[in-house]
Amino acid sequence: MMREPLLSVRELRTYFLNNKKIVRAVDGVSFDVNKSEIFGLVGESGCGKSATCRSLIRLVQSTGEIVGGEILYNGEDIVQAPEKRMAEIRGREIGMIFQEPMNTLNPLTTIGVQLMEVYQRQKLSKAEMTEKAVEMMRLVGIPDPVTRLKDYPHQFSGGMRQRAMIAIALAAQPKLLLADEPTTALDVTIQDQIIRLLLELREKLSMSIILVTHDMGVASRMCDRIAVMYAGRIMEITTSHELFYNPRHPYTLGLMRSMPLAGKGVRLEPIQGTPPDLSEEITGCPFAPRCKMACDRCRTESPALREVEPGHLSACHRAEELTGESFLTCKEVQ
Amino acid sequence: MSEVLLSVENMVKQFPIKQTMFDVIARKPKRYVRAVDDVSFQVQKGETVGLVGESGCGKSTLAKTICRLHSPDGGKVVFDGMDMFGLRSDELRRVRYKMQMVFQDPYSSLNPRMTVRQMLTEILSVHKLCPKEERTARELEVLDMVGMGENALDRYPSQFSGGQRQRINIARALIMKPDMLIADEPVSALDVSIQAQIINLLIDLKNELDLTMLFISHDLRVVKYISDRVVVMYLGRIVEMGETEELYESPCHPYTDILLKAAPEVDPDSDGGEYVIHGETPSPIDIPGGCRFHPRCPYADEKCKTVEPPLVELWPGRCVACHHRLGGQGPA
Repeated sequence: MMREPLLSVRELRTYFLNNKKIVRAVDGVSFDVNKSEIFGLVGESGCGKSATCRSLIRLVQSTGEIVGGEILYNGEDIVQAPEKRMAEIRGREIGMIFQEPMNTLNPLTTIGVQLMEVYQRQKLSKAEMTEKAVEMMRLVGIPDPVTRLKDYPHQFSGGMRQRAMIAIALAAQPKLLLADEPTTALDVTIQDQIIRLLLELREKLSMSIILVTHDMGVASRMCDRIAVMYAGRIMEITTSHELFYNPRHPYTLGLMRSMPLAGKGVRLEPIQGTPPDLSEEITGCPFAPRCKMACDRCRTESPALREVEPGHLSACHRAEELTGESFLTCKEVQ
Repeated sequence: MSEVLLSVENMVKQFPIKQTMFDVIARKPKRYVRAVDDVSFQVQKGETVGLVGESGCGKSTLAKTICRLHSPDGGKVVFDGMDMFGLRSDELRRVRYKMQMVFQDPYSSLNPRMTVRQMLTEILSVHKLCPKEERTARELEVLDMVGMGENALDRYPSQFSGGQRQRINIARALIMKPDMLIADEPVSALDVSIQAQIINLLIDLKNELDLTMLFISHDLRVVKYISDRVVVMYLGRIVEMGETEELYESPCHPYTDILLKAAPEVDPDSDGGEYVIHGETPSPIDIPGGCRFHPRCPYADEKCKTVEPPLVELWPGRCVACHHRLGGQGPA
């Protein structure tokens, strides 16, 4: 039986206006996120992964706008929802955490006040709110929560701030958490702690997470399924095992070959060139100018995201020719 | 036996903590952050040494102090037989061009108001490296080395992408024909595919020009790929150093071990292991007594809380500072 997806994005387009030019940051993105699934959006900077994530709760910067497509959350279209309904969805249904917690926490009030703000709409007494806040802090592993509630964000370390952000995002018990590069600003040992925390919370609260990251290592550790984005489009979607062991898009393979996974002396194979300028019209496949496999068809006809194997989608005309290559072959050629 | 190009001996660099008016009136003693605390290591001619550690461990301060961009508070740096800290500023200028730095952020390390030609010409004229009429030829030569063409000469940094800017940064360092390159997180701000281009470039240049390199990074994968030897720092001290392969295979210091295990491996079937590190790096203002790592170390005992372990050489080339070193294997 097919499970009903929690979130279903269809042909989402978010455009920005920059210097009187239209920048197609998100250009026809479609994907589903199932219940209690961790779904990864990976790609290099400027590929539209953050813009996609922000579009999902309609928090696109003022120069941008969702110009088309639909975002079905439990069957309800978020793109069309009135602003009043959106205010209810944000936080209560879909929570969000960001890369740099110092920029998103209010420096002028204590963590406790910011956390308890979430409970104010539930008409609880002060004592009940404090109790709930302490419980939340304990859940995300902040030691000594009763005293820490009275601390300001600057008194927290980087890792603790990210934990506090997670506590605030989860206080209203959202069913979906959007995590935009949650560990990028942290040291590896702290990153490891936050990864473990998010994985544990997913189990406990059975929520779904959309993880935006540029780090293939983090994505492979956390995600059930991964979408690889490039130039505002999705290039490939599949389970994380499939993506690493059986990639079906030259861009995904290019990313893996760029990583120093093999030993010394094995030369890296970087993807030549640079990503396209999104303010210009792209004909054909956006990756074609950098792709070693590109043929005439790739330069003229934009490949649709299609199922090349059950559950494995790829937007490449020549996906079938890519078999038997994986990150392991990149790792083992010595 | 290869010769030592750079030798750092017992280097100390501390920064004073700003005192409040009350502290001054109360005559409280000045407090210091000991960013680099008694660090010694050597770099042989022609090798690449990786310097790793988490943020705030002092790796960038160490690099800058080696070049005397920070004035040192103790110790000695001997570069190519010369005592760097004993030089007068005019002597320093003559030595410094042999040792060049490449910085992390390709956006803030280039002057936005200067074209590439102006930047390169300035260096050549300040150091009187070549006659006027040969300058353009030399500039084109270094640009070609980093894979850029003539059309880059009269453009401003804002007209280049991050990867290209990092190439310009490298060109700027190479125009001096240095013996040593100190690269402080040169690829951290770049995307993976661009990162790979720059790593390949650095390796090629190192081989072509016979450069010695100190490569600083928090990315353990990149360091493993590029370095011959690795130095691991924690809170201003070296905790372990050794041959790259050997150190990654069998770390002797618990911190190195944890650092290697915490870095997420690119493997969808890995669960990250059972190993969890608790706590966070303490503030360098209040460095814990005894072994600096003891509050986070799974093996710490009473001795670790009181006695600071010295950096001892286990076998040639491998040093570790720990009372309970893990069972690293000696070279076969």
